Amino acid sequence: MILKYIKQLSLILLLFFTVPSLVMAGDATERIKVISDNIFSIISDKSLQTAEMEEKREQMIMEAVDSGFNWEEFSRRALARHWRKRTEDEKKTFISLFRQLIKRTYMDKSGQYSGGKVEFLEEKIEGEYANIKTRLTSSTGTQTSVDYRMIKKDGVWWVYDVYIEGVSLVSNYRTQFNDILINSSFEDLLNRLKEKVETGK
Amino acid sequence: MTSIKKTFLLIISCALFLIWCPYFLNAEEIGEVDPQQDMDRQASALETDNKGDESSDYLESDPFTDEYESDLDYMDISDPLEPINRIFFHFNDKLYFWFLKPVASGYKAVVPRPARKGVKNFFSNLAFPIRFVNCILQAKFDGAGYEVGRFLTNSILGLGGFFDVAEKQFNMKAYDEDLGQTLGAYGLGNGFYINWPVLGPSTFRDTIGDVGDYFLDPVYHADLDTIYDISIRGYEKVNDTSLDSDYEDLKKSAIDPYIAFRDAYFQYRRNKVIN
Repeated sequence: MILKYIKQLSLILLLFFTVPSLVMAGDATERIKVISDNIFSIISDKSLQTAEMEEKREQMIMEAVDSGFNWEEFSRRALARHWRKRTEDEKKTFISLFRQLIKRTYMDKSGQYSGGKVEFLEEKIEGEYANIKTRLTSSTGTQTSVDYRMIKKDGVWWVYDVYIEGVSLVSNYRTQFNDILINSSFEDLLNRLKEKVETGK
Repeated sequence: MTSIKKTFLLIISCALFLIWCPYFLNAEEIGEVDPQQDMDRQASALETDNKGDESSDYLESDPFTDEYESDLDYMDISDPLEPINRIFFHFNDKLYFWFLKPVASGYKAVVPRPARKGVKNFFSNLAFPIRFVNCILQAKFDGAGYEVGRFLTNSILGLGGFFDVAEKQFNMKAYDEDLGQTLGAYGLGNGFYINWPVLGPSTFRDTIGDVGDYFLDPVYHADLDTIYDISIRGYEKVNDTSLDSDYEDLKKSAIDPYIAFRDAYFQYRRNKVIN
């Protein structure tokens, strides 16, 4: 037992002194880096933390998110096989509502991460698709794994899904939307989305 | 008293296992998914529901879809108890807002964060046998070694487990393995979803796993009276809630919270089984 422990300890010490070298400079990672740096600088900006600047702050964060998130891809995947049956107008309404819903969630969370940091762990690219693994550490030290799935469109990388602790945001909504669409109607889904976005309940 | 409790638990778990064995043998769904087979299943799932619809073409062209296997997960979720589960979900929700949350916030106001973190570390360190045994059962011997290292480091240098020295100083993270994951790694399917009152989301497999893990837990072997046993677990729950609770965040962001939690549970556990 003791021997094993000493062996373990020496292994740990060895690991401890090896500086983790994470080599990466891919386009896709770079995109996420720019966006998250942007968001971090907004949420840690003291001048924006007042009540009257609240709206301005939200707007700035949302602009940063919009610059990298492809909401149409989010929506298409969240509706999956129901997407095609929708008219262009319905799709537009849905995209806008879905964006606002995710925005709400994002905003509530963002406060906890002032003073936190992001580490970029791995970038995997296969053709037009990329998976960026990151680790988010909040100011209180809680770590969360966040993976960004990206798709390349006209040479630009766009986020189309976010995995938090292995749970896909899009997939989670898809299951909910699917359940509503099977048991009710698209109109009902839109109404429930509207209600959620407006009341937040 | 305690020996009766032990025997009772053992009989219950054996009975449950025997009753449901045939169910699992017939279950198509398996824990570790062969990507190709899985993609076929996804494709056929789409076809049966919607012939000739090509809107899901992206699924085939997206290399990460089959690799990480998350798309169309809902096809796998079996929830025959949904009406009862929803009642218990509602019950747990009330339990959270009327009891757990007020108690946790009162506790939070009195006990400083480092102390609460220490308590969490202590319980986590105490649960070492669960992680260790399940690492062994899954032939993750490096993980088992790490766990031994962590346990000794934290018990000695971390003053009985209150400080997670192993992670802080040596960057050694806990190998979060449990019997539910072990059974999953052996190819046992989730079975159906169960939303337990008080205990929350689980599946049939994970419930069996939890019962098994319970026997590995030192709290169980301390041979305490049931009332103390429950109190300790309740306290642990309050402490965890006081540190960070994602419950309200996920609930707030959901259109149908019950489905959102169910799906998140399946995805989260699947990810754990694979890793």
